[in-house]
This record gives sequence, structure tokens and C-alpha cells, in this order.
Amino acid sequence: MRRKWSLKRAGWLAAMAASLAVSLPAGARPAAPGCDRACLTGVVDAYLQAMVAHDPRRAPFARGAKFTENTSILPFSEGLWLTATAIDPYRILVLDPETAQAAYVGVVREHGREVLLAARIKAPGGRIAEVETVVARDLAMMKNLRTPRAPIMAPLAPGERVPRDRLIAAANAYFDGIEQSNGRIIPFDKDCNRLKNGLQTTNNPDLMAELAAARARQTGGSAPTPLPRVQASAPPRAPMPRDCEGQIDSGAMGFISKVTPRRGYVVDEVTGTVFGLFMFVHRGDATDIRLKDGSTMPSPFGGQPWNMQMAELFKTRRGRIWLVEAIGTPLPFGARTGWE
Amino acid sequence: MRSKWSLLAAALLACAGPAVPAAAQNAAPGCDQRCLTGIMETYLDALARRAPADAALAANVVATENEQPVAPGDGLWGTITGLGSYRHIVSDPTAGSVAAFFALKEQGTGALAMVRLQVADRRITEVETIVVRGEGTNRFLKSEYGPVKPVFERVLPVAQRLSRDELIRITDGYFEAIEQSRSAAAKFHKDCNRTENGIQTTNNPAFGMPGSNPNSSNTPGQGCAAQIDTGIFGYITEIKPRRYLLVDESRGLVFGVFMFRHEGRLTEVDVPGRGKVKMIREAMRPFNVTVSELFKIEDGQIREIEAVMAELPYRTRSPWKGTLR
Repeated sequence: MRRKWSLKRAGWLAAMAASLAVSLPAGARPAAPGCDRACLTGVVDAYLQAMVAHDPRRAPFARGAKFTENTSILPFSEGLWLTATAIDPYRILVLDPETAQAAYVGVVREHGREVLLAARIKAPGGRIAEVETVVARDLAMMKNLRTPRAPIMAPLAPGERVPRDRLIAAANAYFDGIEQSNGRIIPFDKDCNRLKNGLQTTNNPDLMAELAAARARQTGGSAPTPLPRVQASAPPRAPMPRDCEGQIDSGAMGFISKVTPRRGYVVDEVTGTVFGLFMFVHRGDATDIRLKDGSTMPSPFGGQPWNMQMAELFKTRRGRIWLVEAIGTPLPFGARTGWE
Repeated sequence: MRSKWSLLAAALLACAGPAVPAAAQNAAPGCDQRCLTGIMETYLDALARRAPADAALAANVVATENEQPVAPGDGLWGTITGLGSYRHIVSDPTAGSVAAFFALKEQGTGALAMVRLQVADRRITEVETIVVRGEGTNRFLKSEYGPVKPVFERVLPVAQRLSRDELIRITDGYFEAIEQSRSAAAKFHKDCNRTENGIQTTNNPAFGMPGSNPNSSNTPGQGCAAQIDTGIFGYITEIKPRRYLLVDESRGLVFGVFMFRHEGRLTEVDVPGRGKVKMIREAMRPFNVTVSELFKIEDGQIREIEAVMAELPYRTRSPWKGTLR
């Protein structure tokens, strides 16, 4: 028999208390009961082991812990807590003792099939109080999800580290740049690359074919459906830029109406990584995107309004965005985060 | 501007929750079925022209699309490029409600929608929309499936009409039957059929239904009751809330919106007479489906079912609270 873990009411209180704490300026924030890097790593391990064992008693939960999966509030007996069957080796950790938070990105099996799990876990004093997850199902491209890119978890040389505020500012500039189709305001490292649900979406000559394969694998969900091929009214004259900055700067992301809210930051100054949760809003009210060179391209999923909850991890060096790891799930237009 | 409105909408929805059930409001005095149908037609015409100002919206209107609060003029209002020809309108002057299933185009691509309007003083106070998108790529969608089946329009002789409560009670048996995988929990007419997103999913062997199984591909070939007894609906964990929103006693119609929850636990079902059948992968994950559904009740039995439904994230909570039951 499965025990019911309905901790909803206390969870709301915890969430309210947490949002109050976050709204205080950093300097005024009361120090969270400690959980250092080893403690946070242990918390993540215990959480994953308890999840795959379908037994919340094996993880150190605080009373009234709150859990969301893809923005829905769930008991610790549903979602992946019900369906997970194994934890794969692919795993990235972001450790933030200052806020007693860890972020995890990894591959988990659901009834044997691979899914990507991104989780923000808040554990003051080592007791898990908040778990916010994004689960990407129907993964099309597993070849990039066997081993994380080597530098992601490596500590930066002291000279390459920057304070947490600058890491958060870099992430914010990234989404400002997407909203404004302006790649030049984003601090990119020259070797920047992005993985989105395992797909390499920059500097990848096979991207269009891989995207088509990914779409073909989608099984319903709130995913928008690709429209029949529309001939752009003024096709691009030059090949589309493939690098992080050029792609955004070209205007090709003009189908993204806004990225808000941007929240749930987990910052690891040692490795130079910043993780957060970002709601992409696509109004879908244009079929064509006008690029900066005057050409147009068909808007991906144009004509359909939809949201996407993204969990994104930015590995930086010297404060510049180097490796991006994005995990996203489509949601109905107007969807909220579950943490309002 | 817009986000302020969304907050307002959320606040209104929160307040709208504990309101009096629609039946007790007698919300549309003097607005009969013809009047309600006219308000719906005006609304759909305004929607097709992306002109919310022409839709008779009340100042405090609350609107949702696929169970998310949206501002009037947002969502479908920004993407619709025209109406299709299929349209099925039902109305309930007692509740002040009118609902439509209708075909539409978004940038030329077919889609199917349900709109329910709550009307007071001939102004629209609630707009509930469900849109199913992607005709051509979404195999489980046919937006033009007309004409409306005549059985829905047939007016019952006065002596055969049932009370509103009785009609809802019979309809509710359908959801009990699905939850229990036991057709005997409902009363099915021998000629019962169900059309979902434009596709007949009973007595239709040609259609392999998502949610059924390649190994049980004859399931869509079975009738309303027999399908349930195979157990293949076992992946449906719970149907809750069941919001009954509109009744037409003269035709024996009940309409509502019902939240189907699928926790993704089952990997196989034991079909009587056939043995273990593996679940398809679409059913082996957590997801919800919001289902707007119209029932024709005849001779005290479920005679015909028409539904427009959209998949949603698992455990999506409907912001709506009202029900006639």
C-alpha cells in the first residue's frame, strides 16, 4: 500500500514564507540554516534514491515540503515519484550553500524510458523544504545526454570566478537579449554552445533535421503542433548564424514574446554556474518572423499560443556564458509556475 | 496592462469560486434558447474577426483557455484566422448558459474548440474555452465532422422528459463506469456512440485510438459499454472535478466539463478473454485531459456522446468551481 503524502496546506505556508525571504535584499536576508556542498550533494542523492524507491521516508523532508512537477503541485507519491524506474549516470549539480539550494539536471527512466529531470531543491539545515521540477519527456536525441560536457561541473580557477550577482545578471541579460533579439547585450564566451532537451541548438549543421525528428517524437501533451511548411515571403539571403550571439541577434527568436517570470536562481560561484526557472510566453500571433537582414522566416508553431517552462543552467567563465543546458516542457498559454 | 488584467482575472476567479450554483441564479431572465444562441453566434463572429469589443462581454468578464486565465483578446483571439463550418450550439436558459463545439482555423490550419458562455442581463460574464490544435499532424483531431447528429436535436415528447437532476445523475454514471472499468455502473442505450475531437471512437474499427493499444486495436470497434468492460480505460485514475454546466430537459441533453487525471501507473491491463495487454507509451506517463462533453439521454439511457478535449499537464487545476450538481 502506498502512503498518501499530502502536505499541501503546510506547503503553501512554506512557499509564502520562502517568497517573503527571497524578496528581501540579499544583505538583509537572514542566514539560512547551513547546508554546505557535501550536505547539498547528499540531499540530492537521498532525494533521487527515495524517488526511484517510491518512498519519501528515505529522504530528509521538512514538514510541509512543497513539490511541483511541470508547474503542478503534487504529493510525493505522484509524477516521477510514481513512474521513475531508474536513475541514469548523466548528472549535473549546482550547489549553492548560501541559499541552502541545489539544482540537479539528469536523466531518469520512467517505466524504462529516458526523461530529463531538472530540479531545484531547497534544504535549509539539510531538510528538504522545496522541490521544483521540470520533466522533459519524449526526448529525441540521447547522444548528448550520456555524459555531461566535461567543464560544466569543474571548479573555475579563482581568477575566472565572479560574484553571484554577476552570474544572475548574465542569465538575465541572456533573456533580455532573447526578448529584444539583441545578442550583443549578452556576455557570451566565444566557445558558447547550448543543449536544449539534449539537442545541440548552436553550431550544429544538422539542427533542422534533428529538430524535425524531435517534433515527430512528441506524443501529444500541451506541445504546439508544427504547421505545414510555409514558404517564407522573403527567404534569408545568407545562411543563418549558428553561434549563440548571432542566432539571437539575427531575430530568429522573435517568436518568443517574453520570458517572465525569471526566478528560482541557484548559484554556484565555485563552478561558475547559475540555474533558474524561466517561463517562455509565445503569443503565436505572427506567422512570419522578420529578421534583421530584412528577410523573413516562418514562425515555429506560428499561429498557436503556448507557454514553455524552461529550467536553464548557464556555465560561465569570467562571468561570460559558455555552456547552456536548457530543459523545457510545453504548457498551455497563460500557465503559471506553481510558485506564485 | 495585460499582466494587471491577469491578476484581476485571477482575483475574480478566486472570488467566483464559492458563488451560488448557476441553477440558483436564474441568470438570464428573459433570455431564452434563441436569445442565448444569438449571443453565442455574435461571440463567435466577433472571435473570428478578433474583435472582443463586439462580443457583448461584461466589464467583469472572467475568461479561461485550456483552464488558464487569459485576458479577452489574448490567446485564441490573437491567432484565429476564421471559423470552419462545423458548429453545434446547446443552451440552458435556466442556468443562463450556452455552449458551442465549433471548427476554426488558426493561420489556415484546422482546429476544434468549445466555448461556454455564462450570460447575465444579456452580457457575457464567463468565457470558458478549450482549443484542440494541429489538424493534419494531430491524428486524433478532425475539425469538420458535421453535420450535427440529428439525435441531439430531437425534441422529446413531454411524457418522456426527465428532471434536470435525473439527467445529471444518469450522466454521472458514465464517469463512474469509466473510473470502475464497469459499464454496469452506467445505463447505456444499445445504439450509444461517442465522438471525440471529431472522430467517432465507438463502433469504428477503422480508427486506432490513442489511449488504446495496438494489440487491442478492435477497441474503437466496440460500443460504449463493451469498451469500458475491456479495462483499457484503467489508465484513467480519476475524473474530478465533474462540472455539470448546462441541461436541456426538452431534448434530454447534459453538458459539462470534466477533468480526467492519469497518474501513469499502469503498464498493462488484463483484458477479459484476451489476457495481458501492454499500455501504449502515451498512457504510461502522468497527464491530464480536460474534456467538454455533451450527453443525449433517451429512455433513461446514454444514447449519444460528443466531446472536445485537450491534454494538459498532470494535475492541472481548473480555476472554475461552479456546477449544477
